[in-house]
Amino acid sequence: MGFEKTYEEINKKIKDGNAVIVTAEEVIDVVKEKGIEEATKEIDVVTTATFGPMCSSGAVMNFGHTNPPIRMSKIYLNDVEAYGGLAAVDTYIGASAESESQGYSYGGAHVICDLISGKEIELKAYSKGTDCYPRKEVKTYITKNDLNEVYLFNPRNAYQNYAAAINSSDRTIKTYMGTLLANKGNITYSTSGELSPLLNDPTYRTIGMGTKIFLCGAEGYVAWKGTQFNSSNKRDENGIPYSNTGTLALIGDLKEMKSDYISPAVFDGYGVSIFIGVGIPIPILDENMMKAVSIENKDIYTNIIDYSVPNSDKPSFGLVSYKDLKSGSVSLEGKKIKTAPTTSMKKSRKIADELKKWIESGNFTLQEPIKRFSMDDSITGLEIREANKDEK
Amino acid sequence: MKSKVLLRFPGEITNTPIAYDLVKKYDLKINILRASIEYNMKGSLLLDLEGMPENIEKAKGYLKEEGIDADFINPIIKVDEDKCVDCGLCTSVCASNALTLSSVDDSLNFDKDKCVGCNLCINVCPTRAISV
Repeated sequence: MGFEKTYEEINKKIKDGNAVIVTAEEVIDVVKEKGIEEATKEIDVVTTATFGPMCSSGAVMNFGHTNPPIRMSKIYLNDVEAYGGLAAVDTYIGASAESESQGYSYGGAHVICDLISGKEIELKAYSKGTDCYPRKEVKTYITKNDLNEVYLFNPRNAYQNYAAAINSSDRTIKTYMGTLLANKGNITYSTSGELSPLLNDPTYRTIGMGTKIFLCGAEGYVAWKGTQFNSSNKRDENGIPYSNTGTLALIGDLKEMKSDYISPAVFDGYGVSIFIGVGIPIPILDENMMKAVSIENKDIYTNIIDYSVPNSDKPSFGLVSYKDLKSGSVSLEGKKIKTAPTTSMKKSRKIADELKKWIESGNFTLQEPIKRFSMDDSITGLEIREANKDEK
Repeated sequence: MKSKVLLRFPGEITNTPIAYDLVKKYDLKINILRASIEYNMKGSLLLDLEGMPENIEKAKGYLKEEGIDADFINPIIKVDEDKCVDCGLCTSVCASNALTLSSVDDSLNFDKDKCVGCNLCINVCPTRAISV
């Protein structure tokens, strides 16, 4: 099994300033030039990254207590509702929550990004009043510095592959994949392809619970498998899935995040989402790991899915490679169709480079997963049924 | 695509059903914004034209043939570089390829000479970086 390296050896090199780090795009040329064996010896860490809209994101925060105190049960931040079912002054604001007054032109994503950029946010909260929490109403203003804790906790980020979107109907449709023009007028797609974290570690050898990552400019962690984690999906001989498969639940301190690596996203006719910047380092433990990170866009395929079909089971127009998607157009049934991404490659690259600098500085070491994700997980849909009378 | 056009025409053609022809022959949706027309007098007409880009092109030819001076006012979009994250989603609706991603570094390029002012990109941009 050739040359091998441990986390300890790689971390020692990082601390000594001797580690060799390249991005998941740069590594492709290194492997082409030197071969897998030589590249494995030479390179210690490969950085991966993505910057795309990820709706399933949000922030946990604690406001601190007023005097007399309130047990907040209805909470609004700049008129966007946050969850009121936690303890007295804890809340969770989801990125896709919409403003009560402005609709989806302002939402949870905007609140999160305004907090990061240091802006003041209006807090309004209501309560029924209890003996221990007598106050019934509060209206005040907060910044991130006024909060005891505020951290992003994103239940589903960094999808391992994602279906491309097309519209075969005769009317334009507005989706979270953008505006899809009628009669297969365009195709939109996401993921950063050969730079994408989970496409570079398809079997979750190094990306697992506890992996230390770059999250929106702060140091963060993989907290859990992401929701809708569907690792038992069909894969090719390299382990690369053909559709939406692995996902990550990510956590990181909002106070340390930078506006450059996170942005609100508004999808016309759909609603609010949020661009999340994620960077994940992959240690080159052996030749198999090097083979995995040297994957190219031409070898990664996804399905082109018809979003005009309003069922959860949408038909596919077949597979397409990321190389073709990124060329700007693909041919489908003899017709040339324009393609466009939802994920920013420019930002993704900036993140991969920034993470490289962090590791080069010696301050960011690699954390071996505390627990690896299963390759057998599957997901189910939601069945609409009558109550099971036997259980009553 | 949608385009604003100012038509200036000589007096002798007030008999020609311009608006009818634009709708019937070129399948254009027209919205009259301002009209200054009197029979057999020089006049002007400010219209919003909406339709397939190729039909708008053909309509331009027709107007010229009729001796009408058609001034297309394309409000040129602006991209706010501080807000733009270079995702590239706007390119998905840009039929004239005025908005493209650089083949070198995937940054967004805007070629204002190619922009036809359809403005479809404005609402498509998720970071609201595009305006007129």
